[in-house]
Amino acid sequence: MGGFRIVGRSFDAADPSARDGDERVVGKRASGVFARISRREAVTGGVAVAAMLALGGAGVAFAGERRLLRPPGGQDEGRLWGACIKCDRCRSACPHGAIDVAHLEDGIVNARTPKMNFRKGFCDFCLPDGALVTEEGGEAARSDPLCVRACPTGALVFGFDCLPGGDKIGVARVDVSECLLYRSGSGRCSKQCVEACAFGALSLGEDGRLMVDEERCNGCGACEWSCPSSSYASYTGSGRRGINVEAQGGESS
Amino acid sequence: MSDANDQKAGGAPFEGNERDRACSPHQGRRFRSATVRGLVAAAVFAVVAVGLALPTGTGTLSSMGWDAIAAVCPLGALESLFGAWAFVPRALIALAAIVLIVVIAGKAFCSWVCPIPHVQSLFKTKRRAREEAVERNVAADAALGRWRRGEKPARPKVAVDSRHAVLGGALLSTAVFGFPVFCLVCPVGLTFAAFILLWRFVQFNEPTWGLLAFPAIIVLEVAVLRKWCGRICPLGALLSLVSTFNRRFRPTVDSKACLRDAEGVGCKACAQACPELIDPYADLGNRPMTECVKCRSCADACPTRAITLPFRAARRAETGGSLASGASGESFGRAGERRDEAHNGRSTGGVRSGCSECAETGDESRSGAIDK
Repeated sequence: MGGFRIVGRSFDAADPSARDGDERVVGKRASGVFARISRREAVTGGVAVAAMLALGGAGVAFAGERRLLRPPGGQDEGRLWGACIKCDRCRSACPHGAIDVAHLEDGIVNARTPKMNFRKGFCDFCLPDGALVTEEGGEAARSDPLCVRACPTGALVFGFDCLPGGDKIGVARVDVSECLLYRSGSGRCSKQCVEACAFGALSLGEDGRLMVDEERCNGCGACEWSCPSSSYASYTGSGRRGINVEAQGGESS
Repeated sequence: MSDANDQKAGGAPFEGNERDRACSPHQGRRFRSATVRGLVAAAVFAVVAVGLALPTGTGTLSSMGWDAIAAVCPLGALESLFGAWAFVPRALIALAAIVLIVVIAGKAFCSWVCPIPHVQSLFKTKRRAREEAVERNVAADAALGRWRRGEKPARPKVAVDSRHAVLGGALLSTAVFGFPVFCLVCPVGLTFAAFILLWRFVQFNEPTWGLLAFPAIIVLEVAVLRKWCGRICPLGALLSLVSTFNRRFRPTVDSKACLRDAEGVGCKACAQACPELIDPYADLGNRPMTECVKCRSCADACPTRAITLPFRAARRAETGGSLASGASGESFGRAGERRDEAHNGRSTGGVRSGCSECAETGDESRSGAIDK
């Protein structure tokens, strides 16, 4: 591999290294600043570059259509794709276990990237207790969640604004076939979701049905986390809850 | 350097089996470094496991640290620069820190931290181990031959090979397609990914094709493409480029103890032990000293424990006639330099003329030893 210039005699036929077809010192190789590339190395190099390009193309070709719910700061999908080195730090850093690992089923490139799972926890943006404000103009709630702080390559960007009208992880949508307020009439559900929402995005309409203020909702997942539908209390097998956070511009993960 | 060893080596005559015995790899310490290396690699997995069990954010070898302070895989950091054109100060600082570490410690990551050599050993058949031993022997013979003919290490300043093509291709593809391409198949990352998936399968009953695909890719890379580290690994290529500037912790031969210097024996135990096909004695091996992974195999194998990997070594006379590297320990300094000068005559025709210390060993027995 490394080149050798022969100062003394050239190699004789009895040199055991002469039998070795490769990785061997070549007598006439110059010792300039850069090694001279042999034909064999040029061919393997070309194959290597082609393989890397093919791998990149395959990753894009089998990317998958589904948009994933990303941790706060990871909403620019191009940025997250380009910078995420799949190191697992954001997933591990989340104190609520709300970050999951995406799998090959989510696309070749998405595999091992972070995605939110609000069945395991929800995002409080790592704000100290009581820092969340429901009124606009209150205490600034710009935050640097632990996952963003942990991201070494800037795939999750700083400065996520969780206040109404700010940034969004996703948007909560009511699933009318699962929400108990729709399924069996109002008054039959304890409405944990409305209580759980720290941003005042959920309310009950005049008919007692659940409404989402998409302007105020930042997709923190507290409603989905607390929803009793499709959990132990009322299992229908659909895997959906009465309210689910969906990625903007795509289906729910 | 123990006195007992010096006496043992010094007392060995240079004929027949006694000579072979003197030059056979040292058995007593042979696997100690390997054991420590294994423990270090296991400790990395333990840290990853802590990050899986607790919300510590410690991460994997792709990036490992605490809160906002973390080491980053240099290849991953470069890929994220090319993939997202994201010039993140932290990634750049981490890159600079890693460059500094590699300048100081060389490619030590490859043998001390990287899990792949250990994964490879899982798939190493006896036949494969024999083939590798033969390969190392052939390389050691070649290095000894070059030394006998008085050749000098004259390497290109920047050695590039097929690994660098993979590196360049990975960065090019990353820039074209906008995501870190090599991370998809990186055996280091996939080893930890497989570990994480297995963990989550047990914890959350979360089956995925990755549980089969990731190990399959790893097996393909380490068991089928057996020369992954030396031929393909772009991370190793990156480390090699920086390691060009590494001078610390290089295998350094104590001329007083080395059988070649002190006894004139054609000993090649160090080169035979080197998994990178380097010649620790004179850097005349099939691969250059920049590829040294600081695994200490040569130091462990040396029958007289003449090899150390010191933080500060005596300056190697690269253009002078001396092929023996600087001495360590008590002979460090003036005495070593004087020795080197005295040995200058040796490089012509393999005869050490003008060296009083070699004279007592006798040229006859010496050349006989080296013809072996």
